[in-house]
Amino acid sequence: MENSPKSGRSGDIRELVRLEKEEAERSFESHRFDARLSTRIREATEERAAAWPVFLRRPAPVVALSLVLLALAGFLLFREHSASPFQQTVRTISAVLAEAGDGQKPNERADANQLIRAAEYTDFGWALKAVFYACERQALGNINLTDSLSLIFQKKAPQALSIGDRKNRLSAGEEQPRLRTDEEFRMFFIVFLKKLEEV
Amino acid sequence: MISLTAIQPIIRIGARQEIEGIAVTSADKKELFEQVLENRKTVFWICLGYARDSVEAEELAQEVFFKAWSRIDSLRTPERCREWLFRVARNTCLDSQKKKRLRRLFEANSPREARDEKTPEALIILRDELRLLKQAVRALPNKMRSTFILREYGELSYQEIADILGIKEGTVMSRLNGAREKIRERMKGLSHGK
Repeated sequence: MENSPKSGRSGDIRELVRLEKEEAERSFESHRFDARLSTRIREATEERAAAWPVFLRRPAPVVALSLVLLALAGFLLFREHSASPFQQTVRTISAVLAEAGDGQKPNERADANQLIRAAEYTDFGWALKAVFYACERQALGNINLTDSLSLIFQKKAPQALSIGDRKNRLSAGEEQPRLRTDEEFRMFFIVFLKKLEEV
Repeated sequence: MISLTAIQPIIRIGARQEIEGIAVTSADKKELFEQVLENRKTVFWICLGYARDSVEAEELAQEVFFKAWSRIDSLRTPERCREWLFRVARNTCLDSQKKKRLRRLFEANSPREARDEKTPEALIILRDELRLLKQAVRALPNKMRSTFILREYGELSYQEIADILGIKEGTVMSRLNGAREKIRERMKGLSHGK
């Protein structure tokens, strides 16, 4: 310290820096530095580990989280149990048509509830067929709608019919029905309604 | 060499809690942090260049190593951990200075550094010169200041400085010359205007 550079002002910057470092180094205790750092790291680690339970202990976030979960569950339930307008129409018509039967043999699926299931489109298709049989018998028009319907039902179709249902139908000797997609069925239904008007 | 035994158990605990089941990664992390810790003196010196005194420099160095420990997983090239660490140090110091500047805006009447009138004359002269140097370094433009501090306080090579700052070695040299020149002028001005 005694050999302080008088020349510092004019230029020996490096020497001044060296002296500053030397002085600072005296107050720098490695052990204390390490101890402080390790304490800080330990605290941060513990804090991080405890972060989730602390969050759960606070009432406001828990209430908010519960509300969000309830809302989500409600939304999912609502979505599960509410059908689209088109599906609702299909269900209603299916039930009504099923009541009518095909007029040729006893209706085995008269129970409307049975129709409102995954295979409802197919059931609806079969019910429609029954209506057309009735139409034909009463000679309401010259268009052979039954044939065209059968063709459409047999050619296209996603395989949404339950395996059990399919097996039942196969064992009953029925021709395997095929299910259409929503969009196809919607289009088909519009065409059908138009044709029905013509009839 | 400073013992790392104080840090090691904590790193092990941290690794077990955070990345359970990835023993290799936690071992790597520990080893890497040990490597990083070897540079604590250099980091302290770099911080000293930016700080007002050694107490502040130590605080900054603590912050640097804490950040290094927290972010060590993001280090992609372990062989360049020195360069990475010094970059963390520089950024930490610059951030701290920004915060201090903001604080000063709200605390306009902050007390000045106390001066020990009882210290020997030589010490007073040295303190005075160091204070002038600090002021002059602080007054340097950011880029020049970083270059100067990394070289004079951190004692890094031109190549290392160039890598840290993302500039060419030639630029490092010209910035250093410029910085020294400015410091000299500033110190002269400050001492005359005292």
